[in-house]
Amino acid sequence: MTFEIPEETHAGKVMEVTLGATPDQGGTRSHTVKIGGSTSSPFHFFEGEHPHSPVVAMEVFDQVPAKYPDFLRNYCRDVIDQPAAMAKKCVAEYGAELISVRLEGTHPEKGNRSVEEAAEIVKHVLESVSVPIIVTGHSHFEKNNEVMKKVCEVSAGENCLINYVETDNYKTIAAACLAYKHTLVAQSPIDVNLAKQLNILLTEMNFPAEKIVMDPLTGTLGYGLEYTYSIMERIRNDGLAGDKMLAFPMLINPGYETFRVKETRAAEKDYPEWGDLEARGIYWEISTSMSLLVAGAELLIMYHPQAVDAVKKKIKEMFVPKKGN
Amino acid sequence: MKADRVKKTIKVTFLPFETCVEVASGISILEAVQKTGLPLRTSCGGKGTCGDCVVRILSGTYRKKSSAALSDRLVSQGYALACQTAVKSDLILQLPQFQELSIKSVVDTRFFQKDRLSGYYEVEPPLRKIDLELSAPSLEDNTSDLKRLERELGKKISVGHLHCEHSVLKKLAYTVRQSQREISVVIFDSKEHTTIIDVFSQAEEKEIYGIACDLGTSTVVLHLVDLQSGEILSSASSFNQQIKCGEDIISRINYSQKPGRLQELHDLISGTINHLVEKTTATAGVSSSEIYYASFSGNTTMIHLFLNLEPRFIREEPYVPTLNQVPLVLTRDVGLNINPEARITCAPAVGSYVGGDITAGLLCTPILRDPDRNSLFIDVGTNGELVLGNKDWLLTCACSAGPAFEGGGIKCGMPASPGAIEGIKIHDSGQLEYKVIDDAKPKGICGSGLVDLLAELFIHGYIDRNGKFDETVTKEIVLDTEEGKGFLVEKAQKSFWGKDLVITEKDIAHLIRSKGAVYSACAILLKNSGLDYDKIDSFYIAGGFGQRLSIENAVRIGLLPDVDRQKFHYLGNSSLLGAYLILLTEKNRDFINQVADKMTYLELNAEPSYMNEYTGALFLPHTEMDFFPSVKKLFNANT
Repeated sequence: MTFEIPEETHAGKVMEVTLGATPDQGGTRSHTVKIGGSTSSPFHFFEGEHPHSPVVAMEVFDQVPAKYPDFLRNYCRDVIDQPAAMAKKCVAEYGAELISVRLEGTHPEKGNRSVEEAAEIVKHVLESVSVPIIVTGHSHFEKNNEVMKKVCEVSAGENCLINYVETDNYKTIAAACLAYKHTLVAQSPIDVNLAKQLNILLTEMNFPAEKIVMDPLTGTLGYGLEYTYSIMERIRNDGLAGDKMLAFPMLINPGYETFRVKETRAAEKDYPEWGDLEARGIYWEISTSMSLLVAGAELLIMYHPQAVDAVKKKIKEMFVPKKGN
Repeated sequence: MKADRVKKTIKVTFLPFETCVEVASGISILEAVQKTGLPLRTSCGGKGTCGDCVVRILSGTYRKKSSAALSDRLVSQGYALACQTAVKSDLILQLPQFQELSIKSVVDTRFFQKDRLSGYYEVEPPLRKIDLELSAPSLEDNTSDLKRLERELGKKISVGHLHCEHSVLKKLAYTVRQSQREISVVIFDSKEHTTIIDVFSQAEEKEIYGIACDLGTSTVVLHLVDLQSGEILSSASSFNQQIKCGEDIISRINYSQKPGRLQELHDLISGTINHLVEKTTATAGVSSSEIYYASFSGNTTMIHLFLNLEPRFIREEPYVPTLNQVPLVLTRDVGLNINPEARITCAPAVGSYVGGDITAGLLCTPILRDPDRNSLFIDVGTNGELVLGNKDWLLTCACSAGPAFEGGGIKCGMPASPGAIEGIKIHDSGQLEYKVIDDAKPKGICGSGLVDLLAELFIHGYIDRNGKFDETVTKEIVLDTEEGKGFLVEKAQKSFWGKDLVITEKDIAHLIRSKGAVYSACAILLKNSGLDYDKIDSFYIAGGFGQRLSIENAVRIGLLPDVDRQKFHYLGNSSLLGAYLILLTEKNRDFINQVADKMTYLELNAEPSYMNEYTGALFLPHTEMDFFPSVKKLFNANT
């Protein structure tokens, strides 16, 4: 007697979201990247369809974060202060499928760079790479809104992924995304209801559902990963069960989250039993990424080139559509 | 030495708390208030711009820096800004935020109609006055005074074990002789024995009275009752003077943890009650020494503080109070200015967070005698409490709802007293219409008005489902205030305090949290009972919203479930009514003690899904709009 794997069938389907725009779509990207579209749990090829593989983005900075580890700088030391050049390097040498431009330097307490400066950086990155880009902001609502409005404007038509809005600050940026045809990240603090509420608020202002990516605000390994895992799993299960307001592809930030915790920053001489610092960091980022991929993450913004390589290989290995699919 | 001249200290007295503080000449009234700990809000931080710290100076001299935020009319009536006024001599002043509440608005006589008392109204108090004519003693019959009294009493009523208070024995000899043996005795019946608690000459024409009192965390309300007829003779209410030691029970428990503080809290609540006793007895023209019986209801903490019992363990896990069912205590133990032999009863608690205010409230509903129908009783207060069930089973829980629906923590919130906006309607034209209690100039908005306002703002699309203003709709209407964006309900010129009546996004967030706590507690209670809303036949709503609560609007904001509106019954202050019913007959007291014993308490802290239910309810009307079909229909039609 052969064992038959029981199959779950789902009424719902994760929204398919397209990132970037080619010249005939009004942008300048060489290609677009699609995520979402799944009809079953992540990697469950035996019971549903998964038209798009998860993708890995890498991040460049208007201002390199103070905590950015030295061993990471080694991979981009020559270009680390030139976001456009670093973006190019990440795509060409490290296999980044998208580029996230983090504009934390515009935060009034972290550099207070001008709106125009930020817009210039985004324009340069768009010129230097042909992959779709993500623009990542910060939590200072007032400044971030100004920055994102300008970014949306100067990159009109490129269908950038504008990262992020939250419940208390979504209208201005969402309106700019609508006007200049960009996609939006809806971020909420590790809670199914709050995630759903923000998606409702966005769609109730007539923001198109196929332009929403969710960020459930996950941490790294050792910082409540189990909890974030179960929240992502519940979001995905509810979405597949037919709750349209939870059926959006999910973005995570394993790079940013991993390389700011003590475990990836404490020197080996202080914690000899923890082993080599860089190897530790790589494994930390890989473990976080792999766990959350299984929970339903489809767009990962990562930092360490070796971790990127490992995770991309693993995705390729695991992403094997059933014959006939 | 002359140079050592002592700096003059000045005494400042704050009404209605009668709190005094000694301060140096020249400091501001606001600083003086802060020394007392009285809760006087300021939102501008003492810059003299917000006008929140208004006080009324009744006597004394002072120096004013500015009264820019007050109208001339108010200044001429003695109002001043505490932060802008320096003390120069002894002052007596009033904190208008805590003016006496009007009893009319707190106690709605509609709720006291006997036919609404769900069958528990019966006048058979355990306290009786019996007139006796003792036989004359002689050398032939030299029976003692007490025996003689007992003999006569035995002819009038059946007496089992008879006790007699020592204070009665002390005065018996002269009372008998001076009255020519025409005496009245006051007896108190309990299951075990009958006790004579007073004796006086019939010529004194004394009567027996009782008081029923709701000991609220914020307000205390009291009825003076004629124990022979059961009639309410007069009523009064005031703020609980303990407010100066903390606005909620947890901060009061914390306050009580230093030496002498528990006694202070106890004295403050006794003081509040004594003040109300004075007021009601004066109105009714009776003597407070004729009050022989008192019935109290209150949450578990308030009862502990009233009885001068250690409240600490109510707030420490596993949350065990000293007692739930209170044995009869005596006046002298709790410091009330009523007859020293008066008996005091308190409605029983179920646990640390479901108190006697709830069990008393249940007496106002038919829940306890309904065998087939299920009812849900919801008391929306600082602590929200719920009871679900029928004659055979009762499940209860408590949630922390916050004081928002009583007007607490809301910029222009206030209790339901004269000057409070109690109802609001926004017309499709955008015109706003409101109704003020006693048709006065509006001072603020009470709970029922806040429910209306939130519902109207939501239904008209002025705020999104998260409670934030939609600027595309409200650009012209929304103001920038010191506390963020706000919606103008009434302009400064037309309001009593001469300042804008505004509801801010912060206020709205408070209200949403409050309603979310209550709704999610309902959801958990139902889940644990295995019932759906359609299996609940009646919903009884109690709380300090005011006289009128729009059920429709309470549903629209997601405070109450979207079911047939005919199933809802608004009770008002059910705790007070329950205390009254317990006062009137021992039967109710016994009954409610038995019921309290049998109630099942559900601890929401131990309920893993509560947080999930709660965040789901932090939306208008709820994250799941499908739970509110009538609201969904209306919302979709409007957008």
